[in-house]
Amino acid sequence: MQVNRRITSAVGLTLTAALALAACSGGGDDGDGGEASGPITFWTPHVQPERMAAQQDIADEFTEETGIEVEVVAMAGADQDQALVTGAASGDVPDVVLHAPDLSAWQTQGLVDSDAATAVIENLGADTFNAQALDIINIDGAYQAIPSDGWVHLIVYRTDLLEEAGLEVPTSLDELADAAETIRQEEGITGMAMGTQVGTPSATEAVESIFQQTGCQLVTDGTVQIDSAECAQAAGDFATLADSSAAGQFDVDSARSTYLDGKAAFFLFSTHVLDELAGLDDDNPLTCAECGDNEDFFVENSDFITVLDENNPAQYGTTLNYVIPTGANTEAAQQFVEYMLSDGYATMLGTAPEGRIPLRPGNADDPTQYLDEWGTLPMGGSDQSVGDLYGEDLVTSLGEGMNAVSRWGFGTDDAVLAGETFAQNVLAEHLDALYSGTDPQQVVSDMAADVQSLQDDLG
Amino acid sequence: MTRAARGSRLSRGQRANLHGYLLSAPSYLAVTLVILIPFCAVVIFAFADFRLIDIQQMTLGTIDWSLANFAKALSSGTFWGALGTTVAYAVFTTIGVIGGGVVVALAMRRPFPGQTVVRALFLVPYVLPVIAGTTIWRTMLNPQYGFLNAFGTQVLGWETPIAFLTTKTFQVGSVGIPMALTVVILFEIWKSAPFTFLFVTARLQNVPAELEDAAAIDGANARQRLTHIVLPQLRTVVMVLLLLRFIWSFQNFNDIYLLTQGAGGTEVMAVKVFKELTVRADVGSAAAYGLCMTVILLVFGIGWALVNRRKEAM
Repeated sequence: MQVNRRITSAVGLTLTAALALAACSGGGDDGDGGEASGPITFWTPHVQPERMAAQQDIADEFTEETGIEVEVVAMAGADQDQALVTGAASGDVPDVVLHAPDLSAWQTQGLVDSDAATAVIENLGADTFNAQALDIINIDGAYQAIPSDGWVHLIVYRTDLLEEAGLEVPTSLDELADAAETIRQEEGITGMAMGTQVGTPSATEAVESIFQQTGCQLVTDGTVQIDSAECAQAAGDFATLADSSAAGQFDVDSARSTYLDGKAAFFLFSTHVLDELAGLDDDNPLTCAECGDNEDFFVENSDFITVLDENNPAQYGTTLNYVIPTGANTEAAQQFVEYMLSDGYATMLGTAPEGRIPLRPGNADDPTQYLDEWGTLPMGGSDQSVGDLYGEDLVTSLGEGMNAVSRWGFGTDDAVLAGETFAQNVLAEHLDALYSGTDPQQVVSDMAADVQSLQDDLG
Repeated sequence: MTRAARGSRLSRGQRANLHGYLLSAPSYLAVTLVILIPFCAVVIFAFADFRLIDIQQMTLGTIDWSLANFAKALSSGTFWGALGTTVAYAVFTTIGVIGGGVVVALAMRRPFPGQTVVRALFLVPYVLPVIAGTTIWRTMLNPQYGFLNAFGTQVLGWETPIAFLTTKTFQVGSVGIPMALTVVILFEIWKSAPFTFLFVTARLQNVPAELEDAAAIDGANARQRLTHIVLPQLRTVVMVLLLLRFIWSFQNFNDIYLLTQGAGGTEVMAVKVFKELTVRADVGSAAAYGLCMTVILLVFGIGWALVNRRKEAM
């Protein structure tokens, strides 16, 4: 018994000492965060080898100019969540993170230095940024990050197949659903290829993208709205679109390969697909029967719907933003971000121009300098730009499309709820019931109940 | 002076004790560092009200103690949903793993040609790294390219492929099957039944053949020999496996996360803890969930011990 007591007190002592040590070392770490010229760490979600090489080049140029060393670390979005949490607990955070706008969890936990971000935006001029993009990263009235670039969803369609089936280009969600169903019945192939797998991020994106086309809202001013009539209508159309698949439920990858195989008439995807349609991406080869003879088959026979319904011009999309974490080497991080959004901007966008539309179109001297440069950037290791392949109209409508980027709740007081609903695939979990024939109004009511309980949980 | 003096202060027994402590010190140290301290940290985090960024500045004196993390967890529907899923998962995998292992061990008891090869093959799922196993299953169950769906649609005449890993409820007639949950349970049975098989086979090899022979001479048929001679001998090993298996299944994270990421109604407690930590960056909430798991397992463990003791006494 005595031994036990001794062990207990020893543990108690060790624990106290460990906590005290942790507290002390925590204080000490702040020291290296303050040095302005120290090396900085940059986490990027662009992890492909050639994109990494391009980013390293930009970082090297920055080092040459300022003397600040930059370590470019490849880290996909989901890994960033995990690594930043453990890093923040141990006091070892990166200095700049390029991240999607779902910053509510980080902001709630105090991980984001919004003062540093605001300073950069003001220094570069808030009016040189896309206003919509700034709204998206505004939580509690403060900028949480600095917008860099983004993409929007497009509905790609096969002009030849629509003609064959005698279909007009749809101008509303109802028409799109009807057209997809017709294709499935008459041509026997998939009508709409999009992420439909229950409970997955692919389907979560598709739900938000499709539902917005009827003006459906997740939540406004703290009131859950997903059980509205617009949402029920969208849910019904979503079920029809999902049902138009000849190959079951898709994730984004299988949806893309189905379209590139010539087995789908409509296809919902981000602008990232523009180079793949032209056969410029070795990882996603064209496999359709006609493609063997004609590499430009999809470029010639595809067209794009950017705004489906003029009455509800809401395009699903996302932005990438430079986050400066709390405890980072602030001054150097700010310099680096400013460089990435000015001198290094075009090269950075050039790593994948089709999916990286600039959110800082220009600077004080030339308000469209970067947008113009972006329009001429060659895609996917080729020498052709978006304009060369698809015409200048698409370039213009993509640039403008970033102004119609619409995400549920982002930039409002409901950002946290919307972010959590998205991250936990709450809506996509209900697709199961929708597919098995449950009344769409019932499905959106169930969705609303889940979002409501999430809102109650969040307090 | 030194050696003699020290020797005179400590008796032989005390010296032996001291040696014992010194020799076991490394293990105490390891246990303290990797188990006790992290566990105490979890307890502290669970009962503290803080933001992740504050951890650096936290000391025992400045912690804002609170039950908020538990209040939030226990009042949320997802907690009870995850708990229900976890219990169902743990119960069915335990039954399947132990039942499957015992049946296969009994079936392979008597020597037959190729016994060694079959036994070795049966152990493959257990030896396979979990990431390889889940990748194989994910590939085979894929709705577009998977073998199973291709077989189903082309040979069995299914109308559409089945998304095995993301479908929460699959309707067969009027009965709803929790599809994804069933698949992760089957995976665990496939993967872990060999473990039971190994233990039970080892035990069976120690069952004296004379006992069965004697029973046979006394006129016992094969079924009677099994239920009255062989199975009672397996009781101890099965009871131990029952405890281990239930605890492991209750805490299982790897297979489930790798197969479904918690989609399709497979969000067990361990996956929920992970998501609280990474997706929501909420250490306090994750710690509270984890602690609740520990308490539940503790209750189960004590219950198991009591039942076991009573049976042994009989």
